[in-house]
Amino acid sequence: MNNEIFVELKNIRKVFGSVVALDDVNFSVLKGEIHGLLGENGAGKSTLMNILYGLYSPDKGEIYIEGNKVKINSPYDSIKLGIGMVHQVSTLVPQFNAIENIILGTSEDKYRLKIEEEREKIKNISKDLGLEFPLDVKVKDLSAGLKQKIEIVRAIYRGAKLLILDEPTTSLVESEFKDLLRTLRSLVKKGVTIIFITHKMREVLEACDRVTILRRGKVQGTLDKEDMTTDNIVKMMFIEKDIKVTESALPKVELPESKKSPKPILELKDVSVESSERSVGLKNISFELYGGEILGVAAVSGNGEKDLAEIIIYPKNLNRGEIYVDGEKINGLSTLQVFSKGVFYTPEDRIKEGILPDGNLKENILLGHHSEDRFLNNKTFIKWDEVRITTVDIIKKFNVYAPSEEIIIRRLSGGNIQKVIMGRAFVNPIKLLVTHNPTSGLDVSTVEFIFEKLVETRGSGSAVLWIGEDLDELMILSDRIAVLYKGELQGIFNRDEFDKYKIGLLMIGGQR
Amino acid sequence: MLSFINSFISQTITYAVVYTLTSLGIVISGRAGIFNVAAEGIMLASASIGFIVSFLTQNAILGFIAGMIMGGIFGFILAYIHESFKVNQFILGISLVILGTGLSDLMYKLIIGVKLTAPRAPKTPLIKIPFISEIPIIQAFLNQDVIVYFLYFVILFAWWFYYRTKIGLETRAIGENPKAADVVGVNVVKRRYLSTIIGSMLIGISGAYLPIVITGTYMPDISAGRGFMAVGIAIFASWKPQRAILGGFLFAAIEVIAFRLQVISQNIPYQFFLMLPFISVLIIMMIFKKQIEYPASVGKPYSRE
Repeated sequence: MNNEIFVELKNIRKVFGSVVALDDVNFSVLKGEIHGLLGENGAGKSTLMNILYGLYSPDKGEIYIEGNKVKINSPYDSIKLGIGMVHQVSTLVPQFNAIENIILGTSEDKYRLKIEEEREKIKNISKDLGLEFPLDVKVKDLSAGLKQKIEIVRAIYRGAKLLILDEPTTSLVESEFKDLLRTLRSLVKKGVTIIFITHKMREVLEACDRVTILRRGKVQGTLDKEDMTTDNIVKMMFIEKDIKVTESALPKVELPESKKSPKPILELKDVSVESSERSVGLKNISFELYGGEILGVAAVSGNGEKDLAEIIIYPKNLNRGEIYVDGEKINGLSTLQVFSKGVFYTPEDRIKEGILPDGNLKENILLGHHSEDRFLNNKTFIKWDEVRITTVDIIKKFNVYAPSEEIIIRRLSGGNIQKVIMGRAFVNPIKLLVTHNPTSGLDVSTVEFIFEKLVETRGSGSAVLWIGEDLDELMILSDRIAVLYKGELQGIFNRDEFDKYKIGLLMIGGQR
Repeated sequence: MLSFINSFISQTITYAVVYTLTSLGIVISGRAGIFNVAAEGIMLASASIGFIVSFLTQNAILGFIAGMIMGGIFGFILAYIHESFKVNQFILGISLVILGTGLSDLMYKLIIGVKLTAPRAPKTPLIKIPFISEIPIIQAFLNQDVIVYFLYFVILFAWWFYYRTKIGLETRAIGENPKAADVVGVNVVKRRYLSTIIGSMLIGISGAYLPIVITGTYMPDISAGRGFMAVGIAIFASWKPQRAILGGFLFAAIEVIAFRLQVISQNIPYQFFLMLPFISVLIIMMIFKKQIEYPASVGKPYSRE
């Protein structure tokens, strides 16, 4: 690393509708460094990098590469300037194999498809970087980790001198993160400059030479390696908030002693779900979950975790195995019948599965409670006044930032939508909460709020089944963690056995 | 018997041109992510203009070119309104069907007017390959007009383009995941325009083929739902050009069979046979439901932000 500036962004401003995503941002990266771009979700990190990559055009501002002012209108331009980006969500074509994906879009020789000639070149690059993956398998059949390797090789194949990685660790487990670090170091040795976007402090401390911290669309400052301490970073990331955070920038929430119920609230016995095109299904899942306990289910997305949640709230689909809630068998029941046993569910995709986006808050709160007698006259007509009272109550108790209960829910922020979904689960006293990735994409204060709600639920003697893919989160709050891989239970760990490396390895199918 | 087979195949091929070219046009725009359900309207408008031009100039080829241009215009409108205003492709497609239907009769009445005897289209040039075109059976395939040969060429070209060239690979990528194509520097909007316009041009030629070759004269609603059936064929073909020809021939054969049965049977009302191709689409779709693959993003608008 020397002190030559490779990329400089000056006075960048970007507005989406009425939201100022970036405001007068200045950002520069030195040649040959790993530069961290740190900030909470929604701080503007991805927006800034998408501008550099040409996907968004800035409303104001200039970009300089090696001192020359450049105009980047599309990824086509940025690739020509030697910029490569690995996006947070895979941008590979699922139906194509790795080679096809890698040669896609390269500019020279438009007509000929030189698969065999390129194969050697791609093989060499991946061997050189230590990033091996199958070349002839359709990408949709590969894991998230492999897809990321393909994207890195693709960027290098196309001559990237600057590699932008957008939240590269989102779907990686601990051991894969270490591998990624090694790759990045070897890339730097080859003269590649790297921008590493993340919201996790620990990753910045481990991986980066310098770090720039963004907050609400503004740069808070850039720290050199010697100034990079947890204290300094926390101060810059969450200025006015009084939040205690862990190294992974997660809120620190205490897990107090709680009383375990004598009998399990939820019991699964040999539950199997057929695999289908959309999922791997479940194979002989058995476990018990007691009241006053949070059971975390750790699974990389697509390993049957969705089936697990859905089979509990919709046991009509259950053909093999038995599920008991509070000692009662629920096989064959409909979702509303399960809910009437004191179960509630908050789905993973809050917009698509959790709400009626164009409905108001009252209608959304009623959802799932719509056949309860307390909200119905003569079992038919909705008592909207009753619904309104409940909604107002939830808005207050869950600190939902909403002007009124009549507002259309999609106008709220993600965090507020999640609070409404959470609030809906607690309309009635519940015995079991099934919650799937409740914190994804939320800012720290909302995450803290949701953590506290989960702890409160546990403290009241209810059981929480928390399905998640962020092991850091699960380790903070779970009493036990179950690992699910390819629809099979890999083991259940007690709190004193939590080991990030070991559990992470199981999540990607490693041996114990 | 041989002459029966020959005439059956030959007639089937004539109808297959309509089905295959149209569904190929739909496949081509679909591969870039645009679901062209306007085919019926494009066919009607092109049939009308194609007939008018060929009748006035007494040159069939000019008629086909006119139909092709009309198709291109429709394709441009479809792409422009969709890409610029993100209007739902299906609503847009259906609107264009209505526009094409209205336009077809309007143009004919304005330019040709009402005639006592139906005006006839000029003959379309035939291409005969010496010797080969006289072998029985093969004769049916090769003793045909220029558009049939054009169809053979387009199918081969389309297959080669999508599966053997890099821009073909890129175009398929757009239909699967436009973002993926965008981030590697492929101009998604430009490709969508091109694919939709070229696809619609093929549909236009197919529309002009109806009055110029099949009926020899123009009549209202001449495409009789074949544009919608071609949508079914494109789906049945899993959006693969080489399979569109299979579907095209299958439906053409069903139509010809229905047509012949109509002539020989007296007790069954003829409407029943007219209905056969449509019923077959439903049945075939039900049977092959599991085998059908879609480009993942067909019908979905794409924008970066």
